[in-house]
Amino acid sequence: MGFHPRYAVALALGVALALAATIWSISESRDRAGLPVIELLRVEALPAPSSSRIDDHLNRLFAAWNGERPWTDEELEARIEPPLLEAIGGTAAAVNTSDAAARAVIGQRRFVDMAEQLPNFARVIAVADNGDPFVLTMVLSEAGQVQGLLVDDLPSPPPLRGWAAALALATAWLFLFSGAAADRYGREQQAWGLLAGSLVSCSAVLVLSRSELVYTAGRVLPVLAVAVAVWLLGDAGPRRARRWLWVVAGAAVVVGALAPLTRDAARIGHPPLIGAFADDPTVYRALLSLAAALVGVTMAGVAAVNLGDLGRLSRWRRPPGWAAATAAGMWAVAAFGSAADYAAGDGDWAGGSLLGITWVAFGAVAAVIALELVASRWDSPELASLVIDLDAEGSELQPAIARALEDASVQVVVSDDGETLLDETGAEVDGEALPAGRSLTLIRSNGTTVGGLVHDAALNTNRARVEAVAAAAGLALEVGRLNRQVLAQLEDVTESRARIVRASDAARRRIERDLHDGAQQRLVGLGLTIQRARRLSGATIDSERGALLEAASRELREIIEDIRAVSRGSNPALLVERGLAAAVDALAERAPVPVRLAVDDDPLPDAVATTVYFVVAEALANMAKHAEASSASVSICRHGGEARVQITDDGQGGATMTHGSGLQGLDDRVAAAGGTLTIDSGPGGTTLEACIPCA
Amino acid sequence: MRVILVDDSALIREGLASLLADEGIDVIATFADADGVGEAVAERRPDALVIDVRMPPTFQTEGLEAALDIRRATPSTAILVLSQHIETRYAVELLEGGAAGVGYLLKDRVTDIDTLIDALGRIVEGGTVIDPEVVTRLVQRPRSSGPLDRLSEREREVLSLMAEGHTNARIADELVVNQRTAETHVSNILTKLDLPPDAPVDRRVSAVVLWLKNQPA
Repeated sequence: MGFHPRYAVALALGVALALAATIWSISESRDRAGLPVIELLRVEALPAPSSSRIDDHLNRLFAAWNGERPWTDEELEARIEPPLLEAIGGTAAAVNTSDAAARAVIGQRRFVDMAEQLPNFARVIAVADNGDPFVLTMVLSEAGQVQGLLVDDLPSPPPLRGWAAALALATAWLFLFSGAAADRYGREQQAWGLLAGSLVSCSAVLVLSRSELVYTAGRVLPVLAVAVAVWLLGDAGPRRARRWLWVVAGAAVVVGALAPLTRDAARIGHPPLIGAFADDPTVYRALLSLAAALVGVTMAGVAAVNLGDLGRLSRWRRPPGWAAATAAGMWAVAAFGSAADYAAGDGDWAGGSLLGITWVAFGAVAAVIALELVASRWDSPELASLVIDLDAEGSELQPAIARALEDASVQVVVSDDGETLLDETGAEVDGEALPAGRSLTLIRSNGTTVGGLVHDAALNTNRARVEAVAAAAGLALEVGRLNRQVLAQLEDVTESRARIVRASDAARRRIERDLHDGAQQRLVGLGLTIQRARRLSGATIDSERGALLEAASRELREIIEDIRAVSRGSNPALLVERGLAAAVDALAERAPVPVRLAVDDDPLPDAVATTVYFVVAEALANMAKHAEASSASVSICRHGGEARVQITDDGQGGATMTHGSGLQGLDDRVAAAGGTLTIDSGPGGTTLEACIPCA
Repeated sequence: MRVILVDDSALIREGLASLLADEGIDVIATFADADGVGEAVAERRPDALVIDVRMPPTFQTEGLEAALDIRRATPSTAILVLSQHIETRYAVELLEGGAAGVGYLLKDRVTDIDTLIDALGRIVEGGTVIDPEVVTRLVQRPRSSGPLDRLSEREREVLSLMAEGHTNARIADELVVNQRTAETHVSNILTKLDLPPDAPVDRRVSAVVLWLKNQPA
């Protein structure tokens, strides 16, 4: 599956815990279904009683409930006592007017608040074994003795506390799923936060336990949810704001954990863990109110950070941003509501609709992250298109990356030495000293840093995406680097090929010069000497000596002629002296068939003219040797930025650029000049065309 | 006959000077390049100037340019231009500068002293000498069709000799025919080629050479 190993272990533990909590809460509620009273949900004050009103009320209720007849003690004992005893833990001996029994009932935790607040009259909402809620109304004497009990049907409110536990469990599973997905997509920091959220959510069901310690833990641990919510902010928002949120959240956790310790452990008859406040609910309420207010402040801060980030967020992160802000805001409202509730003195940390809202909001945070992960999965086609786009290079790379990251502010920096990062202006970029809200992701290729992306720090919550884009960018930079390298090498090769051609041309000229100034001149000189010898010796052409000398002269002239043939072919002297048209005309003069010429007056650069000349010379020589043509034509023109030379004959074709042929050499020469040579040779003749750029 | 020699090769300069001296020709000066030749010619008025086309400093056509300059400055001095390579274009350029008293010969012709003496004699007398190689290339250049096709084999031979700068008498000698026959041939050829029938020999040479050069392939 690709989880990080440590995370896989933690995730397995988390799943086991969530499973255990789920199974346990289900079995617990099933066990309690057999009990007559499941939950005590609400303590509600009635108007301060007067004897007559109590009597009236009681009489009316008794009459309505018992057929207009007062209850006897026996009736009370038989019909009221058993369910009430069950509801309060079954430790009271009796519920009737006897002082001892009444005190035993009042001694139970559930009745403490009620007794203290309303010495004379109280109403308790409970749920009967058939699942219907009912009202127990106790009439107490001035001394706190139970004077009577009423039981009344009550259609509402529903058992919210059980719902809160169910919500917390659902939230726990949602967190587990989101955490697994986050780790899977490489968002490790969030993954741990989500796992912690799952544990905190699981702890909410502990309050169902009858063990005092477990129950207390169930009260204390859920306040950690607020810390998890801040954790899940990651590095969104300004760093200072996050630091303050941590401080406030920490305070909320401490205060929120202290509160139940002063009171709630007494639920099933034990004294509170911090016994000093056992008799004073004011401290308990004050702590609860303060904790709720701190939670409210924290969550308002979280909402604000999320809202503040919205402007900077890319399209794909904006809806989750809104959702997170809304959830945090909802949580904050619930917390402030709780704070007011507790301050007013009739709230209950464990119950109430506000707690439900808090769990919904907490669950929404997990849902938001899950949503964001799904959204990031939808991004993969964009990543694919990025890789395609990333044929782009240089100036086109930044827009492509900005599109893929949905962050127009992204800046591409490059590194040539694997250490120093340079921006597009060549200025050095220090990864340690980026402006607030900016973050650097290095681009690596073959283990070397080739550059980096400086992007919005908010993108770090989706490292997988940033890393994928960085990898693709690394590919592009690498491709670009290879391109530049190949181009540079190509340039080198082209340059060296041109140099070889220039060198070979220079060698030709040197050979021709050497022949002209050396061998040819000396042979002519020798001829002159022979002539002089003949004259001076007085030998006539008829004499044997004269005939020999004349034969030597003739032989010499033939040698000179041969050498001339060699040197003429090796240097287009006329090209240098009179230009391309004259030189090509001289070539045409020597061709074995009529050659029509069409040569533009527009002069070509020397190097291009030389190449064109050799193209014509080689083409005509080739035609003379192989084509058996009856005519040919040569056209040379300058078209746009290039010279075009075309040589056509009406011969038998068959010209190919086979290895080692003259045409192959010609192709090399044309290519060295950056041009192209094409040959079209068939039964109708041969057309050879060269296009050479005129720089 | 007084002659100035210009050639960058000392071997040829000295060899040619000696050879001409043997023939009783007075080589009054020699130069290794074209510098100062014009002044020397203007000052000393030789009968003829023998000059190589290719010389320092660029080894291109300095000799030819110098010859054309001297032609304009001192038309009375005949000029024989020698070249290691024959280019019909240079023959044409030379003739365009005035055909009387000019010659254009392949350099190795000088190893046949008779040809050299003959050429010098002809140009000093105001004639024109064009190397047979030039004429051969012009006449035999492959052409699709044209007025040359109308010439007989014999007329072509006559045309070549005309282009080389020979007089009617010399043509008759060369072809071993009587002069009248040669004249008839010349007249026919000029008519067939639409050239002026009775131009002097030097004009005739340039007319024929230019006509041949400009005849399309």
